[in-house]
Parts: sequence; C-alpha cells; structure tokens
Amino acid sequence: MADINLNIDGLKKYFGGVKAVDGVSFSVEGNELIGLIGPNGSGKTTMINTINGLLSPTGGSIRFQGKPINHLPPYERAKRGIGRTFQVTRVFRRMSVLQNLMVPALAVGKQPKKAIRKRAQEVMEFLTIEHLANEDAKNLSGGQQKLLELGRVLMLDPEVIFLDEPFAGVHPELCQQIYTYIKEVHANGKAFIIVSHDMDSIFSLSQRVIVMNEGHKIADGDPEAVRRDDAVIEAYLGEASAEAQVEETKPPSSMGRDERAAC
Amino acid sequence: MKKASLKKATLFVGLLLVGLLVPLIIKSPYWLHVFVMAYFYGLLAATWSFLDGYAGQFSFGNIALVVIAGYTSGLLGTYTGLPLPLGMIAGVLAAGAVGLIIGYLCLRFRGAYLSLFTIAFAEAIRIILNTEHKFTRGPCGLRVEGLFGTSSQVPYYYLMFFILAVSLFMMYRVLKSRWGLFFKAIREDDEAASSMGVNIVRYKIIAFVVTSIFCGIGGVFYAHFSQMLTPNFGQIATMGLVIGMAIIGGVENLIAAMLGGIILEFGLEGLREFGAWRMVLFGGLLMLVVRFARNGLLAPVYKKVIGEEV
Repeated sequence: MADINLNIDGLKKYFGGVKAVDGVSFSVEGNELIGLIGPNGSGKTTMINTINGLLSPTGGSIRFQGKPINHLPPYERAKRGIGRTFQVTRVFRRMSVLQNLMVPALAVGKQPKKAIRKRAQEVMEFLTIEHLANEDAKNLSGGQQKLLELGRVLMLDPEVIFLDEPFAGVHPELCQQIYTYIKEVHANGKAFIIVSHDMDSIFSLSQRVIVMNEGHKIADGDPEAVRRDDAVIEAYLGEASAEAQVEETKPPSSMGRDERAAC
Repeated sequence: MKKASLKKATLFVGLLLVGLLVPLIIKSPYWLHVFVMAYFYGLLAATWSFLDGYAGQFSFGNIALVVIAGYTSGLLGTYTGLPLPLGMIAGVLAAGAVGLIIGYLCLRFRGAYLSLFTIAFAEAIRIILNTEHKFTRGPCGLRVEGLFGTSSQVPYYYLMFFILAVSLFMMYRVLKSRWGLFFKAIREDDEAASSMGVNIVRYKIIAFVVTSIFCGIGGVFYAHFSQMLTPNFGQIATMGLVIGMAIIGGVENLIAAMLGGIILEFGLEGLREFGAWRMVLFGGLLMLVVRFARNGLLAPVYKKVIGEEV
C-alpha cells in the first residue's frame, strides 16, 4: 500500500469579497475514506478545485507526499497522484468511452499503449460499460457518464481520489454500483475524499467525515461523532430545530452500515 | 488488416492514383492551374481542420502564417540572393516560429477571444506588409522566383500534389498518435484534460506549431507558384473562404475538410461567370451547412463509407 500523505494547511480561496474557502486545514494519512459534506455554497467544490490546481489558492499551503504543490498546474498534480471527478460530469463528449479512458493513462505515461488498452478494457469490465467502448461519451446516460468519470480517474491511477457528488442524479441501482466500486478501489489502497449530499451513503462509506460551512471547516472526525456535533446540526438544520432533529438523523438501529447506503 | 483500415487504404491509394493521372488526362494549363490552387486550398482547409476541428483552437491566423512563409522566402531571395531551397526552408521555419509565439500568447484564450486575437494578428501582418511597401513593394506586389525553368503547370501540379499527400499523411499520423487524443481532450474540455494529466500548455503549442509548419509549406509553395505576392492575399476574407471550405467539407474530419477545399475551389472557379454572386452562393451553402449539417457534407459520407472517423 502506498504511503499517502496529503496535507492542507490554512487553505484560502477568495473571489473578491467572497471567502469561498477560509483557512481550512486537514490531512489525509494513508488510504483513508473521507466524506466531505456541507450545505450548498459551503466551499467544498472550490476547495477541491484549489487542491487539484484548477484554482490558485489565495493563501495557505498544499503538500502532497511531503512536498509543496501549490505552484503546480493540474496536470502535474494529476501525475503526482491527485485525481478527481466533477460535480457536473465533464467527460470528453465527442470522444469514445475507450478514448476517454485512454487519455489519462497515456498522459501520465506509466505504461505502453498496448498495456493501457488492456487496462482500459479491464476498467470497462469492472464498471460494466464494456459494451459502450466505441460509443461517444455524449450518448451515455447521466449515470453512465458518472461511471465513465470514475473509470477515467481509475485509469489515472492516483493515490488520492476526490469524488465530487458521485451519487447525484444517479439511478439507485447505479448508485449502489458506484458505492460498491468505491469500496473495492479503496480496499486496494487508494484514499478517497467524497463530496456528497447523500448523507446515508457518506455516513455508511466514510471512516471520517469533514464538514464545511461558509468556507470554514466546522467538524472533522468519526462519522458518528460528527453526526451528533451541534455545529454540524446547526449548519444543516438551524439552531432552533437542532435538538429535535438529532434523533431523526439517526439511522434505524436495525440496519447495517452498508444497508443504510440507500442512495 | 481491419475492414476500416482496408477501406481507408483503398481510398487513399485510389485518390493517389487519380491525382497522379490528372496531368495525363487534363492538358489545359488553365485547368491544371485550377487543380494546383484547389490542392493548395485543400491543404489550408486541412490545416484549419487540424487546429480547430481536432485541437479546438478557432484561429484566423493560418492565412497570416501562409503569407509570412511566402514573404520570408520571397524577400530572402530578392534581397539576399539566398539559394531558393534555403529561402523556402527559412519561410517554413519562420511560420513555425511565429506559430510557436502565437500558440504561447494564446494559451489562455478560448473561443471568441482567440478568434479576435488571431484576426488582429493577421490584419497586423497584412497592414505591415502594405505599409512597408519600400521593402515589400506593398500592393504593387513582390515578384518571386519560380521553382522550375518552364511555363508548364505540370511540375507545379505534381509538387503541390506531393505536398498535399505528404502533409495530409503526416497530420493524419499525428492525429492517430497519443497527441491526437490529447488534442481532442483539450478541445472537449481543457480543464478536465488537465485534471487527467494532459499538459495542455505543451499540446496547445504543439497544435499551433504543427499547423503553422504546414501553412508555411503551403505558403512558400504559393509564393513560388504564383511568382507574385501581395499583402491582400492575407486578408480575413481569404481565411473566411478557407474556414468555409473546411466547415462545408466537415471540420472534424481532416480528409473531408481537404476534399471540401478542393471541391469548392473547383465550384467557385466553375461559377466564375457569375462574378460576385458565386460568393453569395458559397455563403448561402455555408449557412445551410452550419444550420442543418454540423458535421459538414463530406464527413458523414466518409464515416458511412469507411465505417469510422479519421
């Protein structure tokens, strides 16, 4: 298993007067599976964009495997092992599924073309989209595009994978499929940071949950502890109803963790 | 060999044979001249397909690169007495170098901004060539040495045909390589491509430089074929014509764009008696294609016949 270390320290991203991310710090050690949640506009996607290099930070530092990566463009960060998917899928629409999958592996240049093609075939089989290999990505359903994005990031073979809303707008069956894939890939040693509004999935998947609100990190820890955190409940539900909602947000005790991932 | 590859090979060999036989059948110098110009426009349409259709860089600068290459070769021959082949190589290299600079300057531009930048660049080149008339002879035209010591069109025909075939083959090979995939990924979504490890700076510049070199090759040929260069050849209207040819052929298909250039040059020449109205017809056809056939008229035919895209 790779020795993963991503360290975010005092990360800031301002857009004029809007403090989208304001001094967030956290670390990813080893192949953690982290849930990143927060109300709309709390800065989750902006933070991913900043860590991944699509946005330049206003302040703070990002270190990966002990080295600063603030100054690196996204493709360099990808080569060093930071992969991501997007909130709204951004597949290469007028390229086939196979071509979509080949791009990242060819770009990082770890293997010869023949081996990459073989690996793409395996990834398609893993994601059960092998029958769509020669189909243009634009012709895929929303859920299939989510799978393709997941496949693309698997082909990149990064150490840390950010998944931005992997379950959003996806059919429940496909959602369950994505859930299973994440667990399998995680078991193979990859670290995940998953942004989702699907609380059941996040709390059943994650070993640790980070909560953001208005650009700040307001909680970070064990899912059960975070679920009961007053600041989190307030951010999501409002102070007045916080107490009453604590009980409602608890999953039925008769259900297992995986079963609660209802999607 | 795969079925599509066999069909492609058959098509290319067929076109090659037809092209080689043309001077044996067509004896009219006028029509041979039209063939040469059609191939020239076919090359320019293919270069535009390469840059815009595959790499997603909507540039009006190609025609300026043609002019830069032509004038570099012509001016070096006129003022320095440099041997013609060296002047031609210098012309191609000049186009490549300018393409490198333009590519670098345009890295952060997309869509309309890139187009406006390259229009400004092309117009600036044209105006400089007009303004510095003491050196370039401006609108009076710069006389350029011919390539062959004969008035026959046949050697020019074969040379242009050779340039077109080799250029197309090389562009095709580039597009079939990993570079081609990266170009397309950048065209589709450069941020997503970058997030997937594609060095978008490098590949955008490569796309500009490769295009510029082939425009440069076309430019030096045109200069020594026409033997007279005027700055107005580099006007935006000429570039508009090239873009129109590529779009009507099928901008996302190198072969279709090239065929669009060739066929439309013949069409425009055949309609010469209609004067300016032929350009109205051309514009009308372009509007219809943009509205009803986004992939052009020839690209779908190519896909249907060959079974896959270029």
